Amino acid sequence: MTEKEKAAESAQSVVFTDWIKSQADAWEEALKRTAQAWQAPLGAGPGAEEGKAPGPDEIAKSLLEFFQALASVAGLPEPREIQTAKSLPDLMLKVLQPFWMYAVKLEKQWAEMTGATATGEPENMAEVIKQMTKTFYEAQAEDFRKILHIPQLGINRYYQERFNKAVEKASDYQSALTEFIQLLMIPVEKAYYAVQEEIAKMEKEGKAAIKDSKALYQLWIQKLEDHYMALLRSDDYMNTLRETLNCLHDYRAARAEFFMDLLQNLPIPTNRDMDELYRDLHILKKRVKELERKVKHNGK
Amino acid sequence: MAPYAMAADLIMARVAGDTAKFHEQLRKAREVLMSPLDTEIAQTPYDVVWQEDRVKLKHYHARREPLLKTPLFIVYAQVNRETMLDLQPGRSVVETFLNAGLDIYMLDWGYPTRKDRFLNLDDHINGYIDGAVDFILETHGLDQLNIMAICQGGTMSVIYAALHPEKVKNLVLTVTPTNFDHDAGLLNVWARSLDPDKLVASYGNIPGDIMNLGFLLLNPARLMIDKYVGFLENIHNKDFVENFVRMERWIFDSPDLPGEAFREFIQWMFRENRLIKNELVIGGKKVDLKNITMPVLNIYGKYDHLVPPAACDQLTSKIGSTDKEDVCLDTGHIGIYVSSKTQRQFGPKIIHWLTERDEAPGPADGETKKSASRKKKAGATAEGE
Repeated sequence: MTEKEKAAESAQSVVFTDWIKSQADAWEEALKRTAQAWQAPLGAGPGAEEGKAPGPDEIAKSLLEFFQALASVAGLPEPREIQTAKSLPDLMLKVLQPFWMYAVKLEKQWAEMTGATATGEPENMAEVIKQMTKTFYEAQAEDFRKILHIPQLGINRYYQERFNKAVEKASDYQSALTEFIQLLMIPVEKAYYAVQEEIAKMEKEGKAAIKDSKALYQLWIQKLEDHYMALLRSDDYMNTLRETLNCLHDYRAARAEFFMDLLQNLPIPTNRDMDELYRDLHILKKRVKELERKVKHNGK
Repeated sequence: MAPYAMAADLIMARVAGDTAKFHEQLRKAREVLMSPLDTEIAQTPYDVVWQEDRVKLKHYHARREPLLKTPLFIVYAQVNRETMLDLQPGRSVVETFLNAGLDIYMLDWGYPTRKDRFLNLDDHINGYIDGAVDFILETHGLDQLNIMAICQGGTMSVIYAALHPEKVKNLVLTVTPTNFDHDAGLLNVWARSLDPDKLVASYGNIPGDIMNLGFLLLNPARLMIDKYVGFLENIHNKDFVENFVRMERWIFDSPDLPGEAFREFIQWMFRENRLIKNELVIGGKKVDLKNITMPVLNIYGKYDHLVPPAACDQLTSKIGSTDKEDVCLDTGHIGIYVSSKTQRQFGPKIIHWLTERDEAPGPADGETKKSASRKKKAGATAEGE
């Protein structure tokens, strides 16, 4: 690992640690508030001392049975770990920790893959999500493709191959389409930040802030239009559009072949049959028209 | 990040402030939307006088003594419908012409079905357009007629006029793309880099919805968001709602495009720019722009995002006519036909231009010898029956 890579990794881990801490704080705060909100209805229940609502710890105790049952099913922390919880927020944090840590781990992996934590710029989220999805689809396609490409044997081998091809092309198309749609979302995010910057700039310059929502909207829609115009002319957009249309073509062609196999066993004409018929009809009509013209011309 | 939080608070505060007003508007909107709305389009009466396959020829009768000796044949694009020229009473190019005394024929391309997939540009130009022209000429006993064309219908009419100049007396082009080698519009940029062969192979005919999606993507901020925000802001206004719905009805009434004609148009026009370079061959004949010797009026919009001025303003320098005029109006692609401002300029300009180049029919020479003999013939046939 080079010094530069080490530095980048270090920067990533620092940013990421901060982020985990902020996430944990936010969760704890949210759970505390939730517990407080639960106190009133629970306090009004039968058995509660008049005028005194149970505290978070009491609520925790009453919920323990429920979480123990849940833990046994979902592979959560052992009940004895839960017993050590000092408050409802603590308890819930411990209960939810495996889920939460898994989500955090997943996000970290994706973020590392896309390099998002190194920049730390919120403006890149649409781009980050786009890259994440792309990586996901590519990884999935790589594994999936291997299965679809297992050599087929026997009398049905051609039919099975065509089916597999249709599935593969459908997956490719879905991936390309998702990427295309995500690309279209980037200007929305950029416009939002552009408006924020504009307002911050105005405030810094001592100019009056925008007075009404309509003016804010106008500013936003203008920024959005500008960003779309830039995107729609970009090579990135053109390449993605072209790729999406190519994938669409491949998918439709593969699907048509698969359906042809099905339709051949039914008393229904296939696409190919119909196209050939219409082509013949078209040529015949042209020939009749031409002959009519000649007859008319000779008649004169 | 601090300024961001402030701005978000500001936005939310303003939004909350507007909520009460919005609720009042919503109440009125409910009344408007639940009341009977007049959203019909294309209300001007017409007769279908000729038809071949799905393509029809509509005849609109002049509402007063004919102003021109020569009827006007209108050729619309295959994208969307010709009903745009007759959106509603008071906002109708057709109505303006009829009130002025023009006899109008308009081509309705109809809705292509799967069997139209193999129809190419030759079939549309030398087939349907020429068939309709022959019918009109025969009906009126004339050798020539006036053509007014719109957008892609204009491109096809330019080709037609170059291939059959003897049948066209005057040619009026409106927002007609003839030069495709520019980067002024997104449509050009996209069309040049797409593969029409694959699209046609995938779909056969190109679905109208796909075309519509493409047009919406030309400016998503305005066409997919701002437009509907504007609608919500005016939802309590009955006139506004009616006009808006009419426009929506027209915009999303999009026939599919015959596959082969689409493929040729994209390949030969957008990608190879053959027309303006005099390299186009249709039906085995070269389309020589120098053959266009009739008077030509070429109208286009300064702010047209689909067919920008760069797509229109070269034609008159390439054709053989000596009587030719370019008119650039301060409007966009559709505004040229529907905005009240351009309605005052657009229709009257065409009527005046045509009138200057046509002889008003006298009481005795309203019929030519040819038409008189044809009427006689028709009468004899009727008697014979």
